[in-house]
Amino acid sequence: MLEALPGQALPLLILNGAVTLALLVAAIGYVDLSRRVEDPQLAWLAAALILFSFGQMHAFLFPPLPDWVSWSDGLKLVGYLVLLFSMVIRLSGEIAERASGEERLRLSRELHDGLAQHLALLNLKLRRAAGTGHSPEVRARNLEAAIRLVEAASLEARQAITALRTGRVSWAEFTRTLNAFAAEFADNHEVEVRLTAQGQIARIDAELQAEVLRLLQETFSNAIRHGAAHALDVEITAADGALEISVRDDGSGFDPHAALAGPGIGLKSIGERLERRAGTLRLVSAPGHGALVRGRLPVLSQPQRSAA
Amino acid sequence: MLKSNPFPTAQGGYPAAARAETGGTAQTYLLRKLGWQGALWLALAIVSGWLLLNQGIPIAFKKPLLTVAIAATTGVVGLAIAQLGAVRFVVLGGRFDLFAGLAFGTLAVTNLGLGLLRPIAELSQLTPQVSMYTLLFGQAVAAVLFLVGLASARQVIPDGARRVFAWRRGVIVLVALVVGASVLLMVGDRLPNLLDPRTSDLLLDTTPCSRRSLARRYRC
Repeated sequence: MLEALPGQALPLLILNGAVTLALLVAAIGYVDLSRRVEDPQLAWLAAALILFSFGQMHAFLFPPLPDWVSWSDGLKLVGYLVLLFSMVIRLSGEIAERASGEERLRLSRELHDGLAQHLALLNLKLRRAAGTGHSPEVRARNLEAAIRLVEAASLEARQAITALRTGRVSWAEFTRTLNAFAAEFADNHEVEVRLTAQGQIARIDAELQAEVLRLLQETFSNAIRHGAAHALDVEITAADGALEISVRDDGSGFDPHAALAGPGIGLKSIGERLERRAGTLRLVSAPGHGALVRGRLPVLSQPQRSAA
Repeated sequence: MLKSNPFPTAQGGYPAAARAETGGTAQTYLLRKLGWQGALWLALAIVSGWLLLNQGIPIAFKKPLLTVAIAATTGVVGLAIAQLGAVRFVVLGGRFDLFAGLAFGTLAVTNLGLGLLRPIAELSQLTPQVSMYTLLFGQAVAAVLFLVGLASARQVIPDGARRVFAWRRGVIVLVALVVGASVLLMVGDRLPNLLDPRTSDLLLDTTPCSRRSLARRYRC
């Protein structure tokens, strides 16, 4: 036997045999355990242990001498690489899961802030329009408001579909969408809306486009609902990797500090949305002097946005 | 039904109809029935048999730098697996996770200590004989830890007691390793020889070693 396994004395063979046997039993046990528990991590561990036990067996062929590399070392190294690979796979899975979770969160936020709000308000307006205790004028006003809400909800749904389908839009598509929205709003509310766009950005995140539209929608609604504005001037400027959005109205104006401190959530929600994208919101207004809303949104990629 | 899983589990056999649908041969059917574990055992057995039958194939090379690289890789991966095992134990409470983690930690410390520290620090006490005893000691401790984890695989430690349980076992293993390594450093050279006395020649040799060359060396 010793001739077949040259270079090794009996104590080494006994010790090596004991370790090999223990590793073999452990490998069989972990294979069995991984089958019963159906845990992928255990399955990888079992694979590594099979390689380790064979590696230990190969130590019979050549003693584990310092500075020498044998098949035993090679098999054990493969075992470790299997474990490393399992960790990489696990980590990749977790990153994908997290990304999908973030996407679900974003969609739920979009639905909550957009369609759900519109539908709740629509329900209220329709109930008022259908109620018998109101005058015909009030019912007509509520019905008209309901129609506008349906239009807004429809726009919201279209935006969400575009955002989900395309991911990114060109500058031409972006300005075309903004112009369509401005024209639709002007028709529905009988106000004058002028929109100008300067500069250019090659591709715009559809999510960013949705943010801009939401900002315009909130600002326009505030201008006509609270300020009774008749004309709205919108300037969209692309410069230095950011979008500057400026909306000026000829309404009654308001006190920005009071508006932000008050119970209304529209402007605060817009401020929070811009902040989430590392943007800023500035309000310039005074009672009787109209209002100017300035928003700045950096055009960031997904990783940059996460970092911001 | 085949599952798209990074490590498909092979449970039960595959009916003949399913085999016909997938166009599997008898060999692939056998492989599926055995599962990936069976395939791995088989592949390793074939490699080992090939090495045993072909005596001229080199079985070892003297490459000091490569041994350092292997020790560093296995040590670092071992520590990462030990950490993963500890985290899984704290979260899930399975004893086998902790003991597997401790086993990999032990192997990592052994590999890093012998593979990196020995050539860097050039410790005179770490003769080939002591190195091998220390390596076998670390491997034996790791194998015992794997078996202990397996023996108590069904036990789940309650949430509140996991950290204390893990720390205690960790300290016990660490103390055992330190004491064992210290004793081996002191008395290792007085323990029975692990190598044939003629192996000292092999330590100086630089040519790849095959079973045939090894047998020739020890016959004369």
